[in-house]
Amino acid sequence: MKANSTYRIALNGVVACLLLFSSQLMAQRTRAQIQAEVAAYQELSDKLMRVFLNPQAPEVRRLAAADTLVIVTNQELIPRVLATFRNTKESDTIRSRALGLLDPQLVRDDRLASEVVDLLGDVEQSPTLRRASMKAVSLAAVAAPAMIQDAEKTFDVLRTVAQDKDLTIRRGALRILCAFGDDYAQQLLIDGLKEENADLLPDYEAVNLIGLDSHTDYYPDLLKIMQSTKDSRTRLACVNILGPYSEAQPVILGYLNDANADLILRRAALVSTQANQPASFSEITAGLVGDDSAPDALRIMAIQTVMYQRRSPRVRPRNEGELDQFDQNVRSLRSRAKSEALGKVVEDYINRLKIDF
Amino acid sequence: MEQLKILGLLVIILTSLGCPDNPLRPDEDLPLVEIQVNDTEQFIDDYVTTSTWVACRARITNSRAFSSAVASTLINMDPSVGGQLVFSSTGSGSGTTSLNISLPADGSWATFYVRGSSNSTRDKDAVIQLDEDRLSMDEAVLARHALMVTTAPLPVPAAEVSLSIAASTTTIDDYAGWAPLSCTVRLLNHPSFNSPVTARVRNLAGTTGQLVFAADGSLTAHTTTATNSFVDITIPDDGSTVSFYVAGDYGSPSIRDKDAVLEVVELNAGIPGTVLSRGGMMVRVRKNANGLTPEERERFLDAYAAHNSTYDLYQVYQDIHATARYEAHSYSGVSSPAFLPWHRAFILRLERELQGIDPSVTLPYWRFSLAAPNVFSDDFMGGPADLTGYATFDPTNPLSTWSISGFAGISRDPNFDPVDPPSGIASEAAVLGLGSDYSSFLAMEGNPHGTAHVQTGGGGWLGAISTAVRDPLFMMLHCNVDRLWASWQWANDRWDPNSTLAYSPAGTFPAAGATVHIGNYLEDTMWPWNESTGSGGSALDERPLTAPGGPFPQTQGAILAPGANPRPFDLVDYRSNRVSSAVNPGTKVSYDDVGEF
Repeated sequence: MKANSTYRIALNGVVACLLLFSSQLMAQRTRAQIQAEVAAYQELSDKLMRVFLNPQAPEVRRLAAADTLVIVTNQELIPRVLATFRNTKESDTIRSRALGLLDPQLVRDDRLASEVVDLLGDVEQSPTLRRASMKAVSLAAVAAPAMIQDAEKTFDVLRTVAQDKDLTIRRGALRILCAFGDDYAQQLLIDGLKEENADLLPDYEAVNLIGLDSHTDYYPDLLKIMQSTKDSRTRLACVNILGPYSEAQPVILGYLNDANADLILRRAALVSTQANQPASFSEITAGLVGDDSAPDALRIMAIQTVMYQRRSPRVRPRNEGELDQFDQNVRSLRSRAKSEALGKVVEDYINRLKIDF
Repeated sequence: MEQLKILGLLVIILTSLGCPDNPLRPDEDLPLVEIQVNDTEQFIDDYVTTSTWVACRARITNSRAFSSAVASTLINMDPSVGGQLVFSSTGSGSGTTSLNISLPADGSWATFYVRGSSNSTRDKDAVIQLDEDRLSMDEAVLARHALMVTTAPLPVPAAEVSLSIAASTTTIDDYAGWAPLSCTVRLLNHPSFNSPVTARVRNLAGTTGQLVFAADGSLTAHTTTATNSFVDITIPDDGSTVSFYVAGDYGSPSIRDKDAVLEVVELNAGIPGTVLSRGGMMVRVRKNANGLTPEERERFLDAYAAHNSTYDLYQVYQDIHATARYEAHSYSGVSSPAFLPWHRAFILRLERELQGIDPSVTLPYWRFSLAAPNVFSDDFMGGPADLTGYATFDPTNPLSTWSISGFAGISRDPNFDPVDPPSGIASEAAVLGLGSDYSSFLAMEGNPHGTAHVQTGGGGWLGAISTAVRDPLFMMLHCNVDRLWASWQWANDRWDPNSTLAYSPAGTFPAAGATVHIGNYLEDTMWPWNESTGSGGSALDERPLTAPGGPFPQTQGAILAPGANPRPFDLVDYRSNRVSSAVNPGTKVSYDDVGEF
């Protein structure tokens, strides 16, 4: 362990020096400097790769080398790194690290992608290897979506491991499936939310994932959860995603106007209301803006929201006669705003909307 | 072949004569406005005091496009920085900090008066801003004209000259990166002269944004830029123009609009003497988000919030990215070479729209291989996640009320501390060392690009293609991806799109034997800007079902890049429009730490 950390510190030191050198000169760096940095890195990288690929080297040294390398840059070495990943005589840790080094290859190598999915679904494999596979599949969600979208096999495996015993794998699978709007995963999470002690993930996290691509079918269940949960985090997560649901809007408005509610919940309710009821937002919040007992944070956010809504000449008030209650309440704050932040946003509002008549 | 060349040239000329679109409303024409202080074309009398009203005027220079007057509003560009102005329609009274004026549709002048309300600290730090104010339109900035509030104006010289930055009288294109921008100087009172006037063009001492210069005819298109600290010119005595080139001095970008000032000084026996003209402009480049000044950050956030909340323009980016498939991202076994040019166009379009709101704004990049505590803070892109995995904001931050598609807040739960870089991200040296040919370099789509998404998104929006754009950090992440490509291009001299080392595959999508999807070949037009749709299937010649957003908005200037229907060809060399054989500033994009040529 000591050898591992000493080696890593030394290697990181070299890289840190390189980075420091480059960042100090960043604004005026030259083409020659970049070329020199790349050449220096490649030399270092080749040395480290030789260490990593050497089965005779101590594992701690090999792992430290991989930590510094992050990816394979020398294309000629890719087959050897692939062989290390596939070599069942290597330790699971070394194989996992080899897979990590191949991140860039994942997007262009069908066979590798398929092997990764197989590993993920094979519960007989070690947790280390399966977690490395999960990481690789997560990467595909943003860099190689067809590995997921166009491959029913991947979906099947992800659905299977969505209830895996390993939380890391379960969470990763549910995140991907929900991002792709998978009904099965969303229903699994809804069921988990409705049944105590059956949770796959913490409730608030399940709500967040359903919200990645939520179907309106789930809104009624989520509304019930928002109203019944005792967990403030879950309620907050519901507020963030339920704004488009008309049945939920009065409840969310209630949170906004509840002087006893947590400020974080009231802030989320305010943002949800402006996002989903923009036409009536100024009317809804005019009273709040004029209420000196309301938290400044809410008043500032409300004023700022309406300022941006009305900045366009299309909706900006044109003269004194067109000022509504919201405008008048903001103008009246000019003389009595107690905090500097509130005073500044009031001035911005008046100047931006050109209502300094 | 010759006919094709002539046709191409004709297209360029015709598009150059057209009006640039309003970046906020691409189907509407943007008035190009000229402002004159003291009712003269020359800048040498652009000085005002706090006691006397000075007559000014403004007009639309592309009046053919308008059938009725354009309502607009005069304001100070920044009420908290530099000399301040008040405006009047009559040249009497105390004046106001904003004034509505109507620009006649026929191109005739609208008159107004200005005087100072507080003195300048340097020349050109008082800026008249003219905003679009038509009831049917959004609030695009139409012009910014720089002057000075002072009791000691420069003396008016015998030689009266006009200076045109970017070779036009409008100020909306007075922005330079590291690529060369053409300027002209002309002797206005030339009948009084019987010999040319020699002059030197240089930086005004003490300015922030620094400029470099080159003589007309000294540059080669696509391969060179200005590099000299001054250029000597000979201004003809027949009233014709003399041209020269100006570019930002690499390493010395502006912080705010008009903080770069070029001055034209008369030469007497080779010695600089009387100042003939001074013009304010900006060296506008993309910068590291972590190093932005509070002022730069505030302007960016304001433009970003207005883009989404005022003009409702951001949603289409989410729609485009969620719909894009083979055009924008690699697929298992079928790579997407257009990943880099497609995203280059994608973020450029957003940047152009932000510049319609505030021309001084550029898209900053999040340099994800290094710690960026200033980026992940509650007064910028959001602090560490709250208990539910949402980014946290100070209530005064315009992003504190961010919403998109009805969802409130920003779902983002990074797997790293704000004082650390994300783990597992390939270093820049490693990325730039992936190979010197394009197909090798393209592997960066996995790491660092994909890894940066996954490490930052956590279970949040950035972690998946379908939701990533909802998080405004997406654009900064991809700005850095683009910067890495630009750095790689610079390091390996990979600017020529016709070289397969710079981009491949070449040509257009073939009738038979295609290896990648349509839209990925060098000369294919890219979806959605080509508005081409298909069945949304996975066949190589298929396009998505819809093409949100319309054609690519045009630049404000004579050289249009990358064109309304960009191809990878048009994006590879972002510094120069390769369709034109003239020296030109291309897309007008530059990075603070990536040089040109």
